[in-house]
Amino acid sequence: MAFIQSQISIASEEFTRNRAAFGSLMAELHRRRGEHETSGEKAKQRHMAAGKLLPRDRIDVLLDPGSPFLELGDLAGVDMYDGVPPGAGIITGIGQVNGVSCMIIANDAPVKGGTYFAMTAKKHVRAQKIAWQHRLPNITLVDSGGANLPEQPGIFPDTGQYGSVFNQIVRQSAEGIPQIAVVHGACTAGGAYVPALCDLAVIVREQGYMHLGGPELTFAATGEEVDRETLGGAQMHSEISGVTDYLVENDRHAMATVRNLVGDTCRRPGLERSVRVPKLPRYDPAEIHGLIPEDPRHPADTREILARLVDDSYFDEFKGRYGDSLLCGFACIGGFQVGILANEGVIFSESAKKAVHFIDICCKQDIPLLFLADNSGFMVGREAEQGGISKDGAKMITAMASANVPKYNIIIGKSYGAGYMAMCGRPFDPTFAFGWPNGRAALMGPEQAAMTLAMVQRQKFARDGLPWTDDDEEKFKEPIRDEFEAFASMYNYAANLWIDNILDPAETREVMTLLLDVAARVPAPASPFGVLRI
Amino acid sequence: MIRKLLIANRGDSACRIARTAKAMGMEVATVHSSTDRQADHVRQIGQSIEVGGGPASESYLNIPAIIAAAKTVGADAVHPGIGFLSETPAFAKEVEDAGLIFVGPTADTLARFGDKLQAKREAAELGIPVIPGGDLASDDEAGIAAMIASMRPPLLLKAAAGGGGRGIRVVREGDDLGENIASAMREAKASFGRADLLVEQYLDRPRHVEVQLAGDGAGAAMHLFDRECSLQRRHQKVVEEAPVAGLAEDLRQSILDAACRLAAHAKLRGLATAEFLVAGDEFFFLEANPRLQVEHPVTEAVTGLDLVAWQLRIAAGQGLPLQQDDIVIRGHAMQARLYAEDPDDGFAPATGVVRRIDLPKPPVRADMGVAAGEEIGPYYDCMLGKIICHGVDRGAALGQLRAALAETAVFGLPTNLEFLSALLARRDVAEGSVDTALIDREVTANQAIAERPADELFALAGAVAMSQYRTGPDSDPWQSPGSFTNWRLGQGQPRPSNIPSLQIGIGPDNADVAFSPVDANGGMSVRIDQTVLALTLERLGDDAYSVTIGNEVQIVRALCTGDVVHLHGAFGAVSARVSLYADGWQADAAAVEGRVLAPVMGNVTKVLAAVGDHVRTGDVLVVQESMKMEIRLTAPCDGVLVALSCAEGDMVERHGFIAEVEPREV
Repeated sequence: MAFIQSQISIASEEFTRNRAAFGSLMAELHRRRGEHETSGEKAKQRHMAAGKLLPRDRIDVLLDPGSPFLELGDLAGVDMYDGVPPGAGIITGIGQVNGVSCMIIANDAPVKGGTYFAMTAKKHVRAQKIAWQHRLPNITLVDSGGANLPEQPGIFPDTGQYGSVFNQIVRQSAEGIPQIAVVHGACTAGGAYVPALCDLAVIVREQGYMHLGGPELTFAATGEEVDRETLGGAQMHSEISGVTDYLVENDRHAMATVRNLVGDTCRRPGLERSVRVPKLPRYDPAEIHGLIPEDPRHPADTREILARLVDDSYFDEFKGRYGDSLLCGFACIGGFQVGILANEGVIFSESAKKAVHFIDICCKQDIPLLFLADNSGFMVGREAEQGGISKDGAKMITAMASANVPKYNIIIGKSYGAGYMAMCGRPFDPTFAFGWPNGRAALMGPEQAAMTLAMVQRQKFARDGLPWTDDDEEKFKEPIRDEFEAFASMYNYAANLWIDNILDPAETREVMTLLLDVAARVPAPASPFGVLRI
Repeated sequence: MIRKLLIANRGDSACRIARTAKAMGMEVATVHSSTDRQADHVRQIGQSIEVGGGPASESYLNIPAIIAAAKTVGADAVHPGIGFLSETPAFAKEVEDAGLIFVGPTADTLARFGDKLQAKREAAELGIPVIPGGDLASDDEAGIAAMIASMRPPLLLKAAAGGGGRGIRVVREGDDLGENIASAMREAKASFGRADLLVEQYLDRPRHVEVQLAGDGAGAAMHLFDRECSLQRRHQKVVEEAPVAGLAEDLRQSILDAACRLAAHAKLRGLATAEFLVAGDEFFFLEANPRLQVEHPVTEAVTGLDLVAWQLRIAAGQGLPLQQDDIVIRGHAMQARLYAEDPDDGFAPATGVVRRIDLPKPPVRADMGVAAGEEIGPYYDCMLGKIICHGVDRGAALGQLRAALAETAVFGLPTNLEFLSALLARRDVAEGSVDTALIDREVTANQAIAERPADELFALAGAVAMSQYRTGPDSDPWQSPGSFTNWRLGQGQPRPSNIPSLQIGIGPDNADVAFSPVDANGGMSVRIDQTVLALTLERLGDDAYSVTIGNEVQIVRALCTGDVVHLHGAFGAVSARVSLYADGWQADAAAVEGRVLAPVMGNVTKVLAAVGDHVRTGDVLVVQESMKMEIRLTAPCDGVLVALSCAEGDMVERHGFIAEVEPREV
């Protein structure tokens, strides 16, 4: 049997040093994840004083007791907006409501009134897309002041922005994916359309309001003086306009009502992909912390990582003796079968060709693909070019892009240039993309980027006959290195939603298990490949 | 020979009798009331005739219907069992008149023993000591003084019409007689309308000792040794044992001899029990019960005999199976009676559906008369069964019985299990220094009824309840009971969620319970209202958990039925109400709107405010009584009472609307 036998000692000095270094990365991750709890205390107090539940508490009350909640995009917008903690003022995630896996989308009202920044809109749209792909009912807890006006370019005109929220409600509803909304606060203009477009709308008495124009705008536009309750109150909408379907007394009541509605109108589909008895790895997943070298220039031992990631440490390696800079093999995570592609250095022609073969098998057998990225791109040089690396790289990208099975990208180390693409980076619409705290992704490595730009600069100076010392070069390179280093950070990727979350390596199995389950409940379409350049 | 036996009874005694009858090769049938169609004895015995409605007077006491049933099933003998018609002379007579065998004494014996005064008189005639006095009443102070003069203190003055302990007075050597008599008469008059007093010898802390008797009906009689039944609660036996511990051998022999004399004199046919009170080195005849007793298993255990087999043999005219000298006893046996009664409600009989019964395994004997799914109604005795242990000596029997009770669990309705365990844990019980008033004097009085359950219990109930929502297979991460419970992305130290997910109610108390993610070992942190504690819950099977709180591990058995989690553990038996926090939304509505809701179901005992009243926060508006607790419903804010929806005497539902205060400056 193909079990990975660990070769390392967790008592070694290197392991201990690595683990300590990773410990500070973890501390930072935990600090950023918990930031929403410690920020905005005043706004939260005001919110609660009005008899409202905090948005995260609404979710906890909505969920089944004991249900997991897989929060997504929890670091969106991190450090982008003043006074906005990580999360961009919206909470999205998957949890169980009345026995059904649902996508829950909740405006974080105490954060800038729950208004939409560019990343808020992007995160909302992303959550809808995940729900759509997995046919998860959408439960939208609306408590938002609508668009954040200065953010217009990032939220208004384009696809993937706020307008796409409406579009995706309609398109999902058309496909029979339930859309349930609760009006917890004042919803003006665009905000009013979210619940109005949904299949079912619940509104909280003397707390939820919906109007295309509020009392002030109405007065300004028409001269009509009208109070909020009459204009867009919960009772009015439930008894006169018929905009909302269920009138409830408070947030708790709203959650109880949604739970009933999910029970009444939603079903959890059965498994389309079979599941085996889940087994823990033979080695503690937390040991991955000690496997990641403190110095990012040193590569990690991918097999040792796999031994701590997959069920029973079973990894049936495919073509182990061919193209060995890319490990391919069959394994299970949480009982769900996956085909794993994991870098072990630079991608060569053989590795790429092996990947094509492996991806083809997985598509034919409906096995989800897990890409574990830790590479510095494709091989360069005469030998590689003459060996047709461009052609083989293209084939790998074609196969990966054509695959319609669920595909997951996790940046577990470096992911540079075309390697980022070939390992199913965000541009290839992976079902989910994640990164570990040590992950780095960019066009190229910081040193490489500095060198490349310095070379261009040196040539320019030489052309103009200007002096260019080594000292000049080092001064020139330093900010470039810093800039690329900062760009490559997973926090930058998470902030921009280029990845869905930063994951602790030790919780990666758990996240994947939860996701493989929701993916296993929707049938995967066939995967016709683009032309493969043989 | 008896070919087919009709058992005119129900519950554990019917099942017990059927077991022996079947073992002896007899066919067996029984009877049932219309409410007992699904009862355990009907199912176990296999053939049963419905003899009338739920009330015993219409069914189990309905002589013509039972005799007709015996004819219908073709029985040639009728066993009356324990209770019901077992001591009714008319029944014995009618059974025999119908040409059937009555398994029990003759109608004549039943009549003579049934009349307590007559039995006492007969015993006295045979030279058996009886309790002096008690047979004459007087409402004349001088007459009473004269009766007292002929007796030896201490004495008991009892209201002739009395009961419940009122109008009872103990007169000791040197007490002022006149004053005692006068005040006892005053009390009797005030309580019962009659001043008549009885004078009786007062026995200080007597023990209840009884002798198992057998007779062939022709004058031969023997004993099967003695039993002690001193542990009684309001005259209801709770724990019985055989033989009587620490009884001087000559005294024991005197009692056995006296009992045999009585049996021989009465020409006893079948089995009977002679009951005595023992005080110091004296014994007094109390009464005789001419039937099988609930406590017969302890005698069976120490003698190795089957008493029902004896009854059936004697009834079939085969005489006494053994001679007196053949009877030897071995070791010590103890029995505890399991009652469906609510210790929190003054031991009132409890009704409800038995969801599950867990019983100790052999060699412990468990004689049960109910099965899971059966409803305990209000019509019959609330005894569910009894647990019997036999050891080499009293200490061993007691130890086994305590362990057996800890293994026993009844889910669905309250029982006296916890009470039994507490009773058997007492030092005086262990030492055998017991008397008939011990329970009423010490145990019941000391029971704290309204103490709020510990946070640990709320946490435990909550954790078990949460696990019950996880009903998927192990391979389903979203619903698996074994993993991913309350899973969240890690944030370092796991903490309970800000908001509770469950509300747990135990008795009149409620708590909101919040949970942290549960780790791979079942460890979690639980917040009960404001208190946080660490708890580890490991599922041992469908219905058992290992629970660790602090350094203590407890094995807890649980059964969840609808919204209730029934728990059994070292803390006793607890039924906890479970509701989702979301479903308790009315509480928030009240807080916001100044509305007052009933926290639990109960009776309105006082209404202290009226609509239009100006009230201040905390003013008591209504007093409600529930579970023997007085609950004050107060104004949630300063303002004017604008609505009041109940009156004194009303029954209000849990979360039912009581009143509304419109907030206003006052």
